[in-house]
Amino acid sequence: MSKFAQLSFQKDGMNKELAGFFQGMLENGAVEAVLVPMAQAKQGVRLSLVTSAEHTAPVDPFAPIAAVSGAKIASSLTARPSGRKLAMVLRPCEIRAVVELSKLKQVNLDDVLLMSVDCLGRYENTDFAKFQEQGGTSESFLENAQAGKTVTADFDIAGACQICEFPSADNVDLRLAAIGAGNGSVFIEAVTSKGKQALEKSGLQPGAAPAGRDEAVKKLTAARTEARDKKFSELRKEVNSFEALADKLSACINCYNCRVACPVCYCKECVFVTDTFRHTGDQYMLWADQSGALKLPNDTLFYHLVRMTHMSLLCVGCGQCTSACPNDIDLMPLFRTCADKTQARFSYQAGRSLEEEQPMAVFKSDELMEVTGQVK
Amino acid sequence: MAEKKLTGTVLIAGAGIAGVKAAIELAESGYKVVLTDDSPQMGGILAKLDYQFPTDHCGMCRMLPLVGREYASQYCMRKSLFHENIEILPFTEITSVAGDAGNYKVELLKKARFIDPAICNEMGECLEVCPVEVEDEFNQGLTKRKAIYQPVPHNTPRMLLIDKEACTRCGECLKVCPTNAINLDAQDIAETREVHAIILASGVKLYNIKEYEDAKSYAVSPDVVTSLAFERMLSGSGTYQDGVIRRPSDGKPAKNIAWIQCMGSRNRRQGRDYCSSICCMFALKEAVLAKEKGGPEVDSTIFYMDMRTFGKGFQQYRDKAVDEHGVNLIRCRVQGVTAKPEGSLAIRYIDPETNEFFVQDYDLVVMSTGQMPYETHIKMAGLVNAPLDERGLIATEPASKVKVEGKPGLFLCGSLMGLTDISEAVSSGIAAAGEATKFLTSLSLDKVQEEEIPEPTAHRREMPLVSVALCKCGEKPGAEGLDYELLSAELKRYRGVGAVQVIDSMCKADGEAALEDVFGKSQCNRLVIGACHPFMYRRHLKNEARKAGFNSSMVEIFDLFGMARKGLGEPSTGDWTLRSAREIKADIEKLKFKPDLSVSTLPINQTALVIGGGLAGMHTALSLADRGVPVHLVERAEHLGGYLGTQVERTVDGLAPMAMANDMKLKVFEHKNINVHLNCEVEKTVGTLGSFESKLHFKDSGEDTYLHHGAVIMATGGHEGATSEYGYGTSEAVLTQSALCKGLTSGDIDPGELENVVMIQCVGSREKNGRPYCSRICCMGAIGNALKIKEMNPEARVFILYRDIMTYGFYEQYYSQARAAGVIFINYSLDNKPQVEIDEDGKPVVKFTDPVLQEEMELPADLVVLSTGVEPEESNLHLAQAFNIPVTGDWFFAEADSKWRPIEFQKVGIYAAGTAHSPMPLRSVLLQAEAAAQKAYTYLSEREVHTAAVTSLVKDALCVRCLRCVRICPFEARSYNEADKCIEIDAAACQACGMCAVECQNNAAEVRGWSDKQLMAVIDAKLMDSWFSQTAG
Amino acid sequence: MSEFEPQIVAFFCNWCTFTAADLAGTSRLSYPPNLKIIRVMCTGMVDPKYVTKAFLNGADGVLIGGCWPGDCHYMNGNLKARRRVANLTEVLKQYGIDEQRFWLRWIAASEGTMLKEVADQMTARLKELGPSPLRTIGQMAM
Repeated sequence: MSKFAQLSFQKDGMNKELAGFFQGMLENGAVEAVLVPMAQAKQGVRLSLVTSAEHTAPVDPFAPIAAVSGAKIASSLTARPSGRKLAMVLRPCEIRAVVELSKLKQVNLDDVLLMSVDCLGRYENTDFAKFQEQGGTSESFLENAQAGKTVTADFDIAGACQICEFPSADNVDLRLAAIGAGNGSVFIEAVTSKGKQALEKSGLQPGAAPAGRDEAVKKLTAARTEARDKKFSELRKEVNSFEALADKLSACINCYNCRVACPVCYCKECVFVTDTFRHTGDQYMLWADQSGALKLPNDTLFYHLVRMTHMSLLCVGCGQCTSACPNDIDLMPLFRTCADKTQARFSYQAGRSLEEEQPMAVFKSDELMEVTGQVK
Repeated sequence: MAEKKLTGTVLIAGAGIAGVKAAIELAESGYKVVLTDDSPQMGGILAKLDYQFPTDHCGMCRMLPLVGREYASQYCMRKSLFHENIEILPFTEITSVAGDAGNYKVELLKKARFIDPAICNEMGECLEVCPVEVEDEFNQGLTKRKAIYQPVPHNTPRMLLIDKEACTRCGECLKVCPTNAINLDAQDIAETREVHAIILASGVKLYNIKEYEDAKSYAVSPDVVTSLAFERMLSGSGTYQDGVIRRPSDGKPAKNIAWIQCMGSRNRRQGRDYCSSICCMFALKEAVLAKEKGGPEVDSTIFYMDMRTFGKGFQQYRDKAVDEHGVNLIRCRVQGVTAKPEGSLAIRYIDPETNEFFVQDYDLVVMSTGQMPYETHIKMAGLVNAPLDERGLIATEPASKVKVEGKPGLFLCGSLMGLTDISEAVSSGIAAAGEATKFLTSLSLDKVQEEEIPEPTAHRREMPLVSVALCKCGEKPGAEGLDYELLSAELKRYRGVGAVQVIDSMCKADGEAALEDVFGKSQCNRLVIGACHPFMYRRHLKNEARKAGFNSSMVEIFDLFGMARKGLGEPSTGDWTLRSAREIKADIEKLKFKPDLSVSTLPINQTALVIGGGLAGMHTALSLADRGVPVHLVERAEHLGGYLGTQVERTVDGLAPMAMANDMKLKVFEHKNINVHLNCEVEKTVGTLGSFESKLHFKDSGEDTYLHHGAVIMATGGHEGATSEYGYGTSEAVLTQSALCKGLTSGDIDPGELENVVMIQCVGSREKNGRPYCSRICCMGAIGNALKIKEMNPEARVFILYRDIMTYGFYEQYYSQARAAGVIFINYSLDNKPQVEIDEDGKPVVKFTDPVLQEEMELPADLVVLSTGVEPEESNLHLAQAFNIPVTGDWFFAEADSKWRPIEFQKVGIYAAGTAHSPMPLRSVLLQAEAAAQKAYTYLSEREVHTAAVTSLVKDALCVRCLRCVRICPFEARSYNEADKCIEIDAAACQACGMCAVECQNNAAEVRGWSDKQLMAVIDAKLMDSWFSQTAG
Repeated sequence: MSEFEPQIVAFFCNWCTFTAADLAGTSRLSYPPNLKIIRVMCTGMVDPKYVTKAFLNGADGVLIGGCWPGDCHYMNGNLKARRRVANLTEVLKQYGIDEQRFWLRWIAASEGTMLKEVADQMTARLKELGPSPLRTIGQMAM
């Protein structure tokens, strides 16, 4: 049974309250450090690692931006752990990626207090700048987004967020609950015993649960799911052949930004930039000979297909791939529709649970008989 | 330099599974082997079995060497076996053996094949034209073959031969043979070999239903087949072609199939007072397979006397067969079979439950035909002039199954030991090899010395320039259709090819010269050799290439006639010349990106750790120590001896475990190479083959010491099971078999005072909620005690209540003796167990149902003796953790493969012997101990071991330590070093299966010589001509 | 125009299926030359990359042949292969390469006949299906 503590605030007072909360956690030793989105000096919001209680003022956890996936940062901070107690405030998609990465030993949750923020979506980095220029704040965003208003004059939240059915995160110790919290307040929900201890230490008084939250979350999830399925069927119609796929990817320049941005693409160095794919001029000539002409850089389709086979099983649909593409290739829908198929084949869902084995990690002798369709 | 010693050489007579295993074992430990077989092929019966329980699959190839695997062939053993140290002589008879231990002169007769394999191009044109058809013995006569034939269809090289008896000398084959390889007047060739030791592994005959009188009333129709024939009816290379099991007579599907057990075995009147040991499991397996392969409508029924599921996992397999597959088991004596006019077969039998006479119809009847030892034993004994024992078998030393009595240098294994199943045959092969090595070492004979050829440096960084050498046999005009000119031209044109040469028979001397001559001068830094049967000549050709200046990892050998053999394209049209060209191009591509495959060596700490100071442990320790290997012998208790060695005075087959143990103890304590650690346990172990470190904890002193060793043998043994059934513990008169045995020997129990003794078998055994397994030794134990009582007081009435009497092999004779001596055997079933009640004056009364009279019986007994089975030591669980090795659900150690690697664990360098593996009689315990010692000795006898060149590697800079490779490795070859935070590879354990390489998404894990770069280059080459060769539409 | 001859890249496991291929040959069961056999030590060694590459290089079909579950020389490589094939199939299927062009089959050492049948069936099926959709794109689009 979750415990709730309410943070109430006057207009533009939300982040101050939240800062107070984090300050409390640090002062009372609930944790020794906090990874949390913070406003930068002039503009923009980035994840920041706070170790001193005096420095929590700029926190802005609900800011509708994820410049880089927090899961990547979580990996850097914990793969070789510091041993200090750390709270990480992440978006649901980042939490799901963290879950997968911990199965891959790329995140170590031993000393981590995992916190999520309710997420109504994020703006692409460039759009977020505009959003701020137009005076948008996290509070205003929360208010409008809950009223279904995420669109501004010339931009909307990221495509991934428009079809994201996970506004609230599982597998966390604490939630910063804004959905259904009513204006002028956010709730801190302690889910696990670890979370409850932290909440006590932070000095906040537990109180009633936000009345409308479950209902609001359900409603939002339903709407987003519907949007998702619409997107899936559209894309499946549109990209139903290799020709269409090649066309979709024709702008690709093999910069591999998508895999650098992808939180679950966890290789140090992608195989496509290793010696395996460094060839002699002679080799290129051969390929050209084979078909008369060869597009360069080559292996574009190859790269994306292999990435799909490798990663779609773990894809959490965060859309960082799309955000990272310098040529505006909308990769997210491609990967999500693919993930939808591959994950379903193994009744797996990336980020659902820490216990579930990743599909390629378990092999049974009496499964998938349909693959060969042979009986002895 | 000391003068060169002789290379130890062993002749192995018989290339069945035991002989082959012995050969591989000796070869791997560096000795020369001459492996002969009377029949034209190797593999014995196993060549005909596609499926073995418990997996109901094949895994024969798992017998091949793991560490020294590159010296042996790396493919299916049905194809054949190559090992650099093994000379295989099929179709070769041993005509006489002169000389004595250490220098035998063996006369061989190589029977004429009438086709010279050196000339034959294996295309088999002759098979097409041969007009003579005879029964194909490979398929037990179910199919026909020509007079010219290939004994085993899988064999490569094909080694065709002509069946002298069948051949009509019509000469058709001569006309079509393109290479004049056929000579109908060829003669047998006599040869003499000098060897130091001999291992007899000829196996034994199988009962032939056509040959013997007592089969007459059964073998009444072609639809009555032997179990071996049925095996062929299930095989893709037999008559199982369209997913239906068909009757030989009319080809109708066989739906209703019956097995009749003990055909030719357990028959005193016929002078066959033994149990064939293998038939029960054989039949169970076939009954299951029949249902799996024949479909759900197939019904399998087995008629048996005792279902002898004595081995590890056998009983569990039986339960599965009955419960999950629905195999019917009927315990009865079958009277006979009659063929009905409409084709079905009627089986007449008497139902033991009701004693009623029954007749049941079946479509197909399978005779479980047993092994027939005597004939072979007499023949072999005569040959090597070995003594026969009272049973009529070659006499072995008292406690040994493999050492021929009074004949050092002469050993036997496999079914010659008495009748054995696969797993014991394999163990015995290893044990025999062990005894042989012991003998060779005692003669201080040398191991095979490798030819010292300096390895030229690999010019990897240079632009690859490949030269191709195509071998052409002098007399042999090459396989028809292979156009050398066309091939050469095609290859010359290919990019990266520096030179193409056609060389005459590179496998012979002049070939070598040519190779050196041609390529020594060329600028090429890679070499592809196209030759026949790459494996046979691999090492030789590579050596030549090295002499010529090529680093041997820069040399690929291509099977020039493989394409033809695979039937790709019609040889006659020659169109596979071009295909061969493409194949060679693929090899060229693979070679271009091939890494330097220099062999790494593994330093070996030549000390052994033996855990368990029982008979198995002590025997293993002594066997190693006698060969100069230092041994740490660790025992939990304050004293050596184990259960058997401290509790059991005598076994039914006349062994005295306690005396034996005392004798061993003396030897062990005196031995300069054995270091005994009592009263302590191994807490944890780190390391791999050659370099283990184990932490030893002493219970009393609380001290710890660390032992360093190169291999480990688990010999933790077991003990008599506990029970609370049948009033045990409530009355003096209810006791266990071991207590009775002690009482009888100490005299505390006086048989003279005994009127009624009731023994109850399977107490807590073979029960799902008890010990699900059969303890194998209890029946013999009970019979032994029963005989002793009868001997001391013939008046005493001894009853043995049993479920199945497990006196397999020649233990059957004690069963017969007991019945002759008047011991009364009464069968009971699990659902109707006997009851024991203790009356007021403490005397037990046994209640049971008489199966014959179907009446409740009450029997007041002076003694109720319980066979409570064997339990493993609890410490196995802890040790399993410490060594990262598995245990079964019953806490026995789980070997790597129950058939093919019964002594080993998946992790190299760790072995199990004796009851730690499963319950077994003393002779088998010692056999396994010998085998375990040999497995360890293979490595411990060397200062360093060459690991295979092709192993997996880690590119540390790319590795993210996700440990997926560690989890997926089936050989425990990969581990994470916590201290250094990196992945480590046990090069000895790695089998280069490449699973890690696929699991690792950015190739931080890779198999040398199988890199993605190579494979993708191969794919390019294979599809070179495919692009737009036809586009869509 | 001559009849369409499908290009099939066949990854055969060294132990079972490669033996079966030899057996088929020696038993005079010559199977269609459309198979371009690539010997691998184990089906567990077949990287999805290889299959993808084969298709991108214009293969009309890919056949992976290995030991039946339980036969694997390396204990369980074939089981791993089966999962990977299932996964890769889901990916390729979306764009028009499905189970009809991408086969995994268990073929034991003694099943020369089955090898021939599988080879015949696959070749026939691919002739019906026609060339791989990837051929129409060509390397200019890849």
